[in-house]
This record gives sequence, structure tokens and C-alpha cells, in this order.
Amino acid sequence: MRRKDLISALVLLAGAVGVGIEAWRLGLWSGPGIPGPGFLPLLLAIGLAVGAGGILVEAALAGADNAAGGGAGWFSDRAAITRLAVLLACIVALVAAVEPLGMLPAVGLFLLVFLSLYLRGRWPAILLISGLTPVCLHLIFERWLKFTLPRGFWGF
Amino acid sequence: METFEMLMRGFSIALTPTNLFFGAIGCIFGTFVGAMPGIGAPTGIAVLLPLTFGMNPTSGIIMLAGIYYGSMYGGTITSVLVNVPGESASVMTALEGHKMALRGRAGAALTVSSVGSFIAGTIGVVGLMLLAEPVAGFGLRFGPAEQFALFLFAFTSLVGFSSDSRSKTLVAIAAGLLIATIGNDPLSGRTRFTFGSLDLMGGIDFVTVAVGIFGIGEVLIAFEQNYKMEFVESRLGLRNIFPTAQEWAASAWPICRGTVLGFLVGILPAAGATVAAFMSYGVEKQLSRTPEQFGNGAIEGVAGPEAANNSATAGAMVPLLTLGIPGSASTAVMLGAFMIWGLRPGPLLFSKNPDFVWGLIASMYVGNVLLLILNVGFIPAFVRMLRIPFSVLMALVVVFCVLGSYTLGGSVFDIWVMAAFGVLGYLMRKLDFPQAPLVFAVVLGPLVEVTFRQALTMSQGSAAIFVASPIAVTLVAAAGLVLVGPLVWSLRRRAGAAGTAGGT
Amino acid sequence: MRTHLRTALVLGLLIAGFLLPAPGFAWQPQRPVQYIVPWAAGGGSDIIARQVVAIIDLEKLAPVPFVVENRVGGNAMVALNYTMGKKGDPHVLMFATFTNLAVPLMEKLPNSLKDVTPIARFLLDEQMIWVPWNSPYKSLKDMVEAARKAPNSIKISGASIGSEDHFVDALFQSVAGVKLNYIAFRGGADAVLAILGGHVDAAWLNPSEAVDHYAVKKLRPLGVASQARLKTGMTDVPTFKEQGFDVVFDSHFRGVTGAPGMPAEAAAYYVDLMKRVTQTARWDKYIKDTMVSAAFMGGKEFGEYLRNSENLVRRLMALPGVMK
Repeated sequence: MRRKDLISALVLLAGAVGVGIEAWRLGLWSGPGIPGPGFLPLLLAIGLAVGAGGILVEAALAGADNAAGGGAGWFSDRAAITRLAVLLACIVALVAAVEPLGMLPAVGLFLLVFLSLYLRGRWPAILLISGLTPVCLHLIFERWLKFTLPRGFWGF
Repeated sequence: METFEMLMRGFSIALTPTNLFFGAIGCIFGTFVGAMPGIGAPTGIAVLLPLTFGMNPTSGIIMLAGIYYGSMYGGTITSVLVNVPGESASVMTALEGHKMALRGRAGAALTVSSVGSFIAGTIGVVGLMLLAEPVAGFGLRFGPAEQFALFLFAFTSLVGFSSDSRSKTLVAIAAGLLIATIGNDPLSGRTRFTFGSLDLMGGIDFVTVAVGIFGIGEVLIAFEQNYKMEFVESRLGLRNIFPTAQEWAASAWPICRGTVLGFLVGILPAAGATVAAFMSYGVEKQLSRTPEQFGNGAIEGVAGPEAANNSATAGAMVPLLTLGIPGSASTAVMLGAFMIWGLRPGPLLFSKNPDFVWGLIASMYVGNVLLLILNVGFIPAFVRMLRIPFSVLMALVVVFCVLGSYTLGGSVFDIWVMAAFGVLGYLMRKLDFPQAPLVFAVVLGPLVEVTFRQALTMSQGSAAIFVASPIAVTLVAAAGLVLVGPLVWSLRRRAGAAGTAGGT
Repeated sequence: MRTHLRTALVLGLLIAGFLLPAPGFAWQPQRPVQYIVPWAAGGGSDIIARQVVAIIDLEKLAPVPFVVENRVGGNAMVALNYTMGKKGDPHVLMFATFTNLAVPLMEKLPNSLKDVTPIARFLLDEQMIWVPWNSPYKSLKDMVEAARKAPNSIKISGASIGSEDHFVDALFQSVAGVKLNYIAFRGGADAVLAILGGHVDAAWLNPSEAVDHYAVKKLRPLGVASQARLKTGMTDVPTFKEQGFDVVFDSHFRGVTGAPGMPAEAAAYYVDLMKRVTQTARWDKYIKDTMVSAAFMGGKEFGEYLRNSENLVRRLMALPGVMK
């Protein structure tokens, strides 16, 4: 049995139990025969549980069919972990920076950091892209469409 | 021939240089706005509305109609190029169109969708013109029970033919429906699954989910696996931008079917372009001789839904103009715009403001032509965008996803939600859960649940209401058939295969 | 709670003291005014908010631009909390409707609409009961009698639970002492469809939603749940009161509020500005076209109105069977 299927099925089962309890608390009926706010969520909790059970069965069958298979790891190579981690960190940093720094500076900084990692040494291009993008976005969103984007403590 | 005369008068209004100019401006703005995720047609129309205040009503509305149409075309571009649907009706396009782009067929996908949109849009307007009155009555027959049956059918037609693991599809749907229940429940006033968070009280917008799962999820996967998108340089030449004869042939029928389906779904209350596109995709997948191509860049899956969402746009004008009832978020904004000019769409609009109505209808024809020229003309330029280095493209996709999810509601919280769905999308890909059913469920979930409970409230708890009208019975039966049919089919086939295996 | 109310009252009076006698307005906004709209761009409230901004802009009523900012979420509560956080800031305004008032009460939240600075009420939308043209009910009395004979048999459509439709329906049911089967729809448009299609027996609709269907003899009004009859258009429709049911619901308002603790001069400036907006020809035309009632109310008076409306909603919520 593939471990990732086992784990996802268990997580789903736990989720189903949580949803089920909350659904019960919300109230299944709001009148005789009339479904209330918890009706659909309870059905969905059951659906999740059944699906999780099905995943276990399917995984078990597949495991029986081909015992050696399914051994492939999560990542294809070591470097993949780094790439993913760096990208995720950059995205999280970008979103976290939106409020303190302002949307446009955050975007510029994100592009600068990210591209300097992956566009290796093509500095003119990197600077151009990370400089021009916020300017264009400012023109489109703030000047033209009159959206207010979050501004940082320095006012832009 | 009264209609014809009126239409000619409409053309004489729509084709004045001023109106033509504003129509064209609207189309360009609309394409632009539609291409940006998070600023779909409704937001686009709303924020550009003030620009039209100085004009006379007819020019103003013509420009808004151009924005409305343009955004439908524009939504396709980012779907195909970078897998980020510009607006909800383009999700299906992202599913197949982006896969085509990866194979170097971005130009073909964009051309087919422009041409399909043009045909569907034009036929849709003809339908609007000729059928508005009789068809409006038909839409009215869809009460909550019938609407529920329709949504059920839309749902099952997508699910029944899923090629992924049934258990995982079930989980994806249940999860999507659960996401849709988050927030305030309109039928009880209670809030559900908000964990005390105010930000969650209004629910999670579908665009946030789609942009996260498709956009960020795709970027994460692409980066982890370090695949360079195979945009083969030589394939970006002019000659390869247009579809091959074979691709045209494959798209012809889906376009026709999508047009009819889209118009019919568009006139129904609450359904709109998104549901039309979903249903068209389901239909094409069912009718296809090579359903396994779906999910790997089947051109039918671009042509059908794109046609459907454009004719639905015209279809949605039927209830708006004849009953004053908006069939979708975008038409709701149009209604607001009409009001500002003192035009109240409704049963009296055609007789009270003929110049306006026929000018608008004629401008829809003109708009479609303008958009076809504009889009096909710019496709080479759009496709060239794929020459941007992979890492730059990915970084820009991230930036667009972040901006798009923010502008949706002006809330930084939404960006976090979007990013979280990005991670979920990544996990789903890694664990082989199908993403599309989850996204459908988020869109259709509220409609399915609300109409189900409304119907039972009306019948005071008697489920007989779902089989009380011919429309409801037919749709419920069709839904059942679509859901159970393939299962029985595959079981029989398996039994047959087992039988032959036992025989040898 | 009580002391809270009293403080608010005293504060309101104080503000009013500053407000009323001010002849020339010393205070002017110094930077662009943030105009928070709690709903997504393109909704009914957003359109009105943008209409107000367009008038200020076109008629050059203010020295600085007003910038609409849609802060969507939490059923308008995200916007309310945001505005609450801008304590004392004279450059933050928030659009307000009945929903902003009802939701904090329904969700039992600490902040409510009475905590922000009341600026102005723009307009009211009347609630009316409509039936299909060929309905057996000729008056409210017919309907009430039928409902008495068979409780819950009359299906009446309206907007979601917690909306103005739902509360006026609750008020009507309690006054008439009958049980109606209220079918909540996600919005007014869906409720119109339900009655046009014959899926329900009656509907709570605003004048603008129904007037054209009246003209083509598809729908018929039974009564208007306001203090007085409509001033323009369907002036012949009797009120509920005239028909013997004391149902007066004039809380379906749209207006504007400011950040809490805004300087009195600033509040006075905005009250005057909004008053001038409602005196323009453009505004007049908009009111006529959309068939709402102009009902300007400024500053202190508006604050008192908000408190009264809150009390009404509280009372209705306490009725049995109203909150499911």
C-alpha cells in the first residue's frame, strides 16, 4: 500500500469526523423534512469518509496487484526540495510583505530576489523587470482602474 | 419583418463613428481587464463605469457591452498561456487550452476560441433578437426544484465520466462543496465553518480558489519538477499559430453544440456563462471518441466551452432585457449601469426605448466582429509572450495571482487564502486527486444546496417536488443516467473481460 | 450595555451641539477621502456609492477626490471593523445599509453600526407585498384569512434570512398573527423570478423590482409596509396600516457613516456635502429612475434613526420562529 495514500486517507477521515460533529451542532433540520444548515455538511462528511475508505481499498488492491510498485518517493531529486522550498518561501514572504511594505514595493522586491536566484546574472534584465513591473501595475491598477492597493509605512 | 427594420435602425445607431469608436474602446478595455485574474467582467464593468458618465446613454451602454464581451474573450488568454483563468467562465479553457500551449499549440487554442466565441456570440445575438420573448417564458418555468435538477445534471455530467479514481473524485467534490458552505448561510442566517473568523464569514470566493489551485499550484508543480515548458521556439512561428485543418474539423461540432447549449443555459436564471462552459465540457467529453485526450489538451474541450460561454453571454441578456432580471454577476452590473442612465430593463424596455435596445443589439454584432479582428490580430503577439524565460513567466504568474486575489475584495486575507489553495492544488497533483471537480463543486455548491433546501421548504418537506414537473423529472432522470450509466458500462465491460479471461 | 447606550446618546447630543449652529465650515478634507464600500464592485450598494462619488466629482462639490474602496467580506463586517479601526480619522467614510445594521446583531458581535459616526441617510426602499395578477387575494385581508385557515400554506418569497424582506415578513406575521411559509432567496432578483414563474404565492419586492411587471399585468401589489403611501409612481397602493395591519418598516435605508470619533467639524462638513449631493439634478433623476424614496437625514437625526432601527431588529429577532 502506498504510504501517501494511507496518510491522505487518514487525514481525510479525521477531517470527516470534525465536519460531521460541526454539522450535527449546526442542526440537520430546520423544520419537519426541511434540511437545515447542517444537512449538507453531514452528507459531505459521510462522502469524505466513504471516499477515504475507497482510497484505502483502491490502494490495497493496487498494492496487491503490484507489490513492488508505488515505491517512488515524493520528490524526483534532492534539488527539487530546495527549489520548492525557495519558491514557497518567496511567495510567503511576498504575501507577508504586502501590508508592511505596500503591494508594489513587495512585488518589486519579490521579483528582484526571485529573479536574481533563477535568472543567474542577467542583471540588466532582472533590474528592468523588477523595476518596470511595479510601475506598470501602478499605472494599470491605481491610475487607470482606480483600485487602492495596500501602501506601506512610507506611503506608496 | 419588423424585427429586421428595427435591427437596421439599430445598426444605423451602432455604426455612427462615435458609437463605433466607444464600442472599440470598450472591447479593448474589456479584453485587457478580462485577461487579468480577479478582475473579471463584473469588476471590470463596475470600475470602468465612471468613464462612461460623460457620454450619452447609448454610447455609454455600447461601450459597457464592449467591455462585457471583451472580458469574455480576454479571460481566455491567460487561461491558455499561463493556466490562470481570468474569470470563472474560462476555467474549462484553462484545463485543456493550457495543455495545448504546453504542446506548442497555444496559437491554435486561442484562434479556435476566438473564432468559436465569434460564431457563438453572433448566433447568440440572433437568438436574443428573435427568441427573446418566447424564451423568457421558458426560463421562468425553472423554479428552485427545476434549477436544482439542472445543477444536479451539470454536476453529474462532469463527474460520471471522470477518468480518475472514483474515490478521489468523490473526495474532491465533497471537499469543494464543503468549501462552498463556509460563511453565512442565506437560508438560516447561521455562519458555518468560519472558526470565529470574520474574514471567512462572507465565504470564499470561487476566483480565489481557482487562481490558487490552477495558478499557484501549477507554478509550484512546474518548479519542483523543474520542467521547462516545452514551448518549442520553432513552433511559435506564424505558420504554426493557426489551427490545422484537422483541428478545425475537430472543433466544428463542439462549437455548434456549445453555441446552442450556452444560449439555453444562459437564459436560465442563476446559471450563466460558467455553468454553460462546464456543461459544454462535460458534453464534449461524453461525445468524444477519444475521451482520454481530455485533460491532455483536447481542442474540443477548448472550442465547446468557449463557444458556450459566449453564447451564454448573449443568452443572459434575455432575462435582463425582457424581465429586468440579471442571470449572472456581470449582467447584474449591467443592470446597475442601465439604472444610472434611467433605463429600467424589464417587460417595457423594448417598447419604451427601442433605439436603445436595438442599438445595443446591433452593437453586439459589431462588437463580436471587432473582437474577432482584434483577437486574431493579436494572437501572434500573445503567443510570443511565451518566449519570456520560464522563471520570469512563473514569477509574473505569482504576481498576477497575488494582485488578482487582492483586487477581488480588497483584502490581504484573500491573498493568504489563495496561497493556501495553491499549496492544496500542489498536494492534490502530487497525490493524484483531480482538481477540476473540486473547482466545479465550489462554483455549483451554493446553487445546488440553496435550490435543494428552497424546494423542500416550499413543499414543506416533501421530496415529491423534485419529480412534480416534467422539466424536473427529465433532468433528474438524466442526472441519474449520466451518473450510473458509465459505472454500469465499465462493470459490464470488466465482467465481459473477466469472462473472456476465464474462457482461455 | 445600558451605560453604553447612554454614553452614545450623550455623545450624540454633544456632537449635535457642535453640528447644528455651525454656519460656515471651517474644516475641509486635506487628502483624498477613503470611501469604504462593504460590498463587491458592481452590487446595488456599490452602484449607489459610486453614483454619489460621481456627483461629487462632476459637480465639483469637494476639493479632494473621493476614492471608492471595496472592502468585501464577513457580510460587511470586515468593512465595519476596518472603519472602527480608523478611530478619529476624518478622511474615512463607509457606505451603510440595513444589512450592516442587522448582521452584527444576528452574529452578536461587539461592534455595531451605532458605534461609527452617523453622517447621512440617502434614501429608503419600500417593502411591498406582491401577488401574481390572477391571484385570489385582492387585499391583505384575503391573504391573512387564507393563511389563518391553513397556516404555512402561503409561500412568500424574499431575500435571504437576516435581510430586510425577512424582518418585515416577521413583523407582518406577528402583527397579523398568521404563519406564512417564507422562502428565502439569495437576492431580490431570484425572488422576482420565483413569483413570475408561479413557484410561490406572493413576494416581498421593492417598487423598482416589480413596477414594470405591474404595468404588463403580471404582478399586483397588495400593500406597502411604510408610514405613508409611495410619493411617486404607484400612489394608489394602500399601506398596511390603512388595511388594518400596523406594519411599518422604514429601515431599508442606504446611507453613509464615518470613522468613529471623527472631529465634529469634519462630520458637519460631510453632512453638508452629502446634503448638497442629494440636492443636485443628477441625484433627483437617479432617485426617480430607480423608484426609491429620497429620504435625506443628517448627523444626529440619522444616528437616532439607526438606534431605533436596531431596536426594531432586536425585537423581531426575539420573536419565536424568526431565527431558524
